[in-house]
Amino acid sequence: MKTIQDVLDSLNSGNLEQYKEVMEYCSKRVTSNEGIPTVIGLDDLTSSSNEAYQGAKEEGDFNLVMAAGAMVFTSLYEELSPEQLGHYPPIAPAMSAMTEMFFHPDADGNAVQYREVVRDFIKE
Amino acid sequence: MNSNLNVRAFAEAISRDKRTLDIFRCLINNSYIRVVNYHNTNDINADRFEEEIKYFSKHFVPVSKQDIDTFFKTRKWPYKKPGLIPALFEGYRSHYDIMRPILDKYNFIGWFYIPSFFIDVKPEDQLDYCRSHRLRITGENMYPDKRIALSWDEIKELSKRHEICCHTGSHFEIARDTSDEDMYREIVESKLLIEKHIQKPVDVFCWLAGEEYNYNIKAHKYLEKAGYTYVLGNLKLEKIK
Repeated sequence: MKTIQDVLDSLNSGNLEQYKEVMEYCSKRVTSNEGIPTVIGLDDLTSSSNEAYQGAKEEGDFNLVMAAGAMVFTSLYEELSPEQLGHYPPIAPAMSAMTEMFFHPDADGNAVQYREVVRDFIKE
Repeated sequence: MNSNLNVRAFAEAISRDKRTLDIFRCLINNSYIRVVNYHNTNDINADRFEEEIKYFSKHFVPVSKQDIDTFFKTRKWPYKKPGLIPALFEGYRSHYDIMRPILDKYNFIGWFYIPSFFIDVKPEDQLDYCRSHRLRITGENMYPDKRIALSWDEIKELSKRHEICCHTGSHFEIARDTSDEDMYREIVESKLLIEKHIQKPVDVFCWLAGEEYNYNIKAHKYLEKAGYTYVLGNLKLEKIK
């Protein structure tokens, strides 16, 4: 996926299979032994400034793709029970799944999945 | 699980929980950082870890606490490439033996989250300590001398190039009803212990089962008393001072 429009189009078309496949993949990771990617917010509770932040130039507007992706995953994880979620809010596993699917943009702006980083070590 | 999702349900889902909206705000506002969380870094997986750190070094920049300070101060990420933090939890010895050489080889900065009282447990008691303190060790047979926690000398060495952070004293889950005595021990004394050994300030505190800062207002006075600058939860790194 290249842009936020691609993410929204996948919503409109109801094509959520790729998201569910990533959720399935995430559920099989061994969190105690593997590197588990996620994205966390940076929040300055001491600041009264209303000025927006500027991200890394190479990131472009990939943050918008990540935001849309995170929200899609959140809505899907919301369908699970608290027991299935380990009593974490749906946004927690959603951020990890989002990062798995949209780890960073490649040179053409397309999303690289985290499993590409460790592809030689994934056991089928 | 439904086979598709309508936009109304999508909008409702993201507005139901303040934490979800908060993260949405951070992403839209370019106020976020990538983290890869590690717990056990056993020798059997060393090649995998090296492949990851090597990849990070090509596509991201390492992140120091000072970079985060600068980001908040200038409201601008100071590099062309985005940052990534390899976060190492629980103070395991393998973080020094296996992960440190890889991080140093690729000039990457690890953030080490140490439950500080674990370090002083006698080696022969460390495995039992892990089992009774929710430390999910999987490399317990890596070392014949039975020491599975980092030593203070190793932590001091790590502190020269990496960030040392406090992950409570005894890997303790601080709840809303945790006593003052327990909070002081797990938030303040735990920090002082690390600082005594590394002779540097420890500015980052990490909850267990990380909630956001405002989850536990009672803990604020201890976080302030200890002098932390940042609190890390599952979803955010929050500047509090």
